Amino acid sequence: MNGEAYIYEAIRTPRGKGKANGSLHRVKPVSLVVGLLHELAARHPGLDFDRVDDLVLGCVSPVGDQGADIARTAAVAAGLPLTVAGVQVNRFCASALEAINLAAAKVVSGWDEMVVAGGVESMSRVPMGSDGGAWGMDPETNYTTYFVPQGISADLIATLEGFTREDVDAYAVRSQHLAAAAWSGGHFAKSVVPVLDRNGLPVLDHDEHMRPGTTMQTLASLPPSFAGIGDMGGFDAVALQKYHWVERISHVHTAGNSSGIVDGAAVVLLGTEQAGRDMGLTPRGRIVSTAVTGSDPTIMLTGPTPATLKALATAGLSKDDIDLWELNEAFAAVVLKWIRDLDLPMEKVNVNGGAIAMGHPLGATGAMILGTVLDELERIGGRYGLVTLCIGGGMGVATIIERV
Amino acid sequence: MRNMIGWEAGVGGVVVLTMDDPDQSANTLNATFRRSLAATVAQLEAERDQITGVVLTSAKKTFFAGADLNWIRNVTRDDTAELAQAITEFKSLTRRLETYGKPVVAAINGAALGGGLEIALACHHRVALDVPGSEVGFPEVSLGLLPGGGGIARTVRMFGIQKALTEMLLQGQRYRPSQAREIGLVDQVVHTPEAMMDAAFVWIRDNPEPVQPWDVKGHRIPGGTPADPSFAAMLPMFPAASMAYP
Repeated sequence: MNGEAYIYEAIRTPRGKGKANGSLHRVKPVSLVVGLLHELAARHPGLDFDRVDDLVLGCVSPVGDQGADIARTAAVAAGLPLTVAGVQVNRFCASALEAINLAAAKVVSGWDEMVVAGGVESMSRVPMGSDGGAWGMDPETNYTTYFVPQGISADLIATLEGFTREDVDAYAVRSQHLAAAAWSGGHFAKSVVPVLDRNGLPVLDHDEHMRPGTTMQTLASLPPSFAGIGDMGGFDAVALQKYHWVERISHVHTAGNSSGIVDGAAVVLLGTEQAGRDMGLTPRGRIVSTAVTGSDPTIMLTGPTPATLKALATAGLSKDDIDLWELNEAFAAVVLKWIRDLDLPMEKVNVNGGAIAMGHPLGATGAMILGTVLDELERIGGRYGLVTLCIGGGMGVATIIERV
Repeated sequence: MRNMIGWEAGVGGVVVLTMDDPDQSANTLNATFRRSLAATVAQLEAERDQITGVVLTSAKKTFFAGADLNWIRNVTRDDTAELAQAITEFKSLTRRLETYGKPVVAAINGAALGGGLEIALACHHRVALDVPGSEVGFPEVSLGLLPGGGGIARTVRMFGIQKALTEMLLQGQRYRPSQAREIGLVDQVVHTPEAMMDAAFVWIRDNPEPVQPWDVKGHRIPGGTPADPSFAAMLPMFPAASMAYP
């Protein structure tokens, strides 16, 4: 290992509702990224893009508006030096954290000295699943690998763990309340960059998916989202073939306790200590360790626990060293299971709310929540934070950062 | 402020609106017009039950000359919010006109260029008077502009992206009434002012509840959108062609 990967900046767009009436629907994904790259340059006049080797961006449905290597496209469109390359990566929901981890590896190895990493997803313009794929769409493949949609997996987790509808709804209420408190407390002020139109007029300056008034009563009225595809669609039967000791799947997840569909982008600036010093940049944190792992693809969303353990082991840290725990709120049961598996202190988990309240722009989320943890470590004076996401296909990615 | 849009209650509940800017020889999209249109649309809505249709025409030699170029020329970056607000207001007023629920006919008594054609396209039916000097079109591009008041949205939905771009938007073509009818920008061509008003009244009588094609459920942009792969394949050529044939 040659050196350290320092985090010099972490910024994101606000998250717009991922629908035709969402504020960011009219903004192309490439424009979301270009806006953030220009913000990086504006915030850091010393930042010498001639020494930025690559732009690594996550994107989960990389077709249409966000197809054809959107990272390279954005680098050129932003007017960066032509030597800043650009690669798009897809680790499903952890794509942006994967992008950061890859960028960190490039920097730590010494083969690149400065890399911008992050992700983008305009779910309103390029709906989930637009890129097809053999895993779900090819009958032979999906039959032999026991493919089920993620919502079935989340409900299977809840069933196996015994989480009731009240348990998952209570977690969702917590997310909404913490997100509202974080916004009103200004916890995101440092990292959220308003999206402007080409005339410089504001398009969106806040996460518009939030429902701060959410209560157990309002959530209780929502119908289960995945009972239909589980029953009529046959996917419960697929899951039960594999998990044959389960009597039936309890469909507890709804639109209110699952992550929101939103549009957004985020970028993180990583580099060596030397490059940062030469440019007069102040490091805010460093990447301590990264981990990736696979787990059963049918239950699919249990990867965060092994990924967390792997990242801790690589770092030589124990659970007690971690001041903040952040797991993307894909579904409430995913977070509750991770907390139970690792016996985590609730008051250190997702303390500023998460994707249930603010939304999960698939390819960008990993970078957004890493920035949230870095901001919060600075706010509370903490040292270590661990960021992880559950992933389609049964995987987990985790990253430990240290505030410096 | 006096409303520059005259209001005449005609026969059978038809209101004839006549645009006549007191300060200029032509009607333009200036503050007087925007305030007048706002008041007129509000009055139409208030008196909806007594009204069977609306004819929009002009007392000038031309129908409507479009944007106030003196204003546009002096716009700076500091004015973007105000300009955007004015355009949004204009678009919202024309939108209210086309979703009024009663027939609104543009009696185009002379040239309708730029913003003038945008107003006419927000009407359900266009009758053009063929007199010397009458022409319709979007000449904005020749000034380094694009139609900002609904002209792009409506031509694209009427004619498809390709035809709208190549025949109306990107080359600033101006069409004589008969040509305009051929490509579909106007519906009828007449040769006397009386025939123009007659045609407008007849159309109102025969079409009591018109709906714009794009407000009909299931409307699709003719020829496809960038979301359709066959159309998307042509997209790169539009900007390339604009460089090749400026």
